[in-house]
Amino acid sequence: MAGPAMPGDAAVFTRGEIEEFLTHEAALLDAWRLEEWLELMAPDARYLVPPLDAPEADHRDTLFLIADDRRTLASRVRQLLSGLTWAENPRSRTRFIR
Amino acid sequence: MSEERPSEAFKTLPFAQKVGGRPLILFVSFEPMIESLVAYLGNAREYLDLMLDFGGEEVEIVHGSQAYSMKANWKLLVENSMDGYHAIPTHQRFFSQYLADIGMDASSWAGPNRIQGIGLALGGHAVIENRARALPITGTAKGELDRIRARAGRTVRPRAGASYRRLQQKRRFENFISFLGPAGFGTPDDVDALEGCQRGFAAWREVSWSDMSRGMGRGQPSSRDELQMRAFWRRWHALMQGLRGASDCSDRPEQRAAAE
Repeated sequence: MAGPAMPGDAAVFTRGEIEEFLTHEAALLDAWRLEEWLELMAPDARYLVPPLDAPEADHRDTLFLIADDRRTLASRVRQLLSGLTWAENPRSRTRFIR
Repeated sequence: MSEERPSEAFKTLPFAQKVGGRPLILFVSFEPMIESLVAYLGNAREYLDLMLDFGGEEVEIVHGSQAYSMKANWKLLVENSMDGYHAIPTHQRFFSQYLADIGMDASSWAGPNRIQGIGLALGGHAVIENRARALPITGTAKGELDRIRARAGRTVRPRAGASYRRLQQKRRFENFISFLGPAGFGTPDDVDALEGCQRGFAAWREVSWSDMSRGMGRGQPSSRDELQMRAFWRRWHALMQGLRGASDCSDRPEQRAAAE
């Protein structure tokens, strides 16, 4: 199976390639293929969810809801797949907004 | 609206009748006849003083608030905060997956070598007293933090102090959100468990009591017993009965004898 173009490829992405990448990512989440989803993340990826009362804030001086780095993100994935995450049994449904 | 004339809104607020405490912890009461703060806190005051004497100096308020709701009575969350036994089963993903993922040794918290404390009922104040143990600091580099802390202890330089503070703040954020909050690795499982308890309590007609007797027959209950929870519930009950002033929330001799 030919994978989508990956960030880091020394190429200029077409709009079609970017759309294909986003669709691929969404499909992985829908199928709960979290390990493959994690592989899409760059080593220095950050996964940030700001607090609702300070949506423009900087995670270095403000308490965020989620401020994962690659390692924390990997642990989040392992926890979700471990069967020990009671709050996610059954797991949350994902929704995509374009 | 209220932004234009805040003073009007403030005029309707009642005046605080009594204010007491010490820097960092203030107690405010709107009840003019309330007992003195010293009498109210009783022996629990010593624990608050200890907490503030060792590490309460540099409190900083940061932005970013976290709010979440749960379909459970608030008293269940109090129980959750002070029982000594829910942590390992409820937070399995934190203790057995996350801490392992970041290379943290959790043996003082879980397993046969865990450190066990004692539970106390100081008036209506529930206390768990534990021997000091390493917190599961969940930052990306505990060694780094230890090294910087050691260096900061020897060299007094404003720059170093500032960077230490920033690193410390980063670690505190990491420590906080790794467990707490709506997307932490702990709180959602607490919420899930408490909502399950609340659903279970719908059977109150068939099962009308919640058993909190654990450790009642022991002279000194451990932190995994339920004395501290009994203290909370007894105090709550006394207040609901309209009782004023201090109330004895410890296990009475006849209760202990019955439990034995």
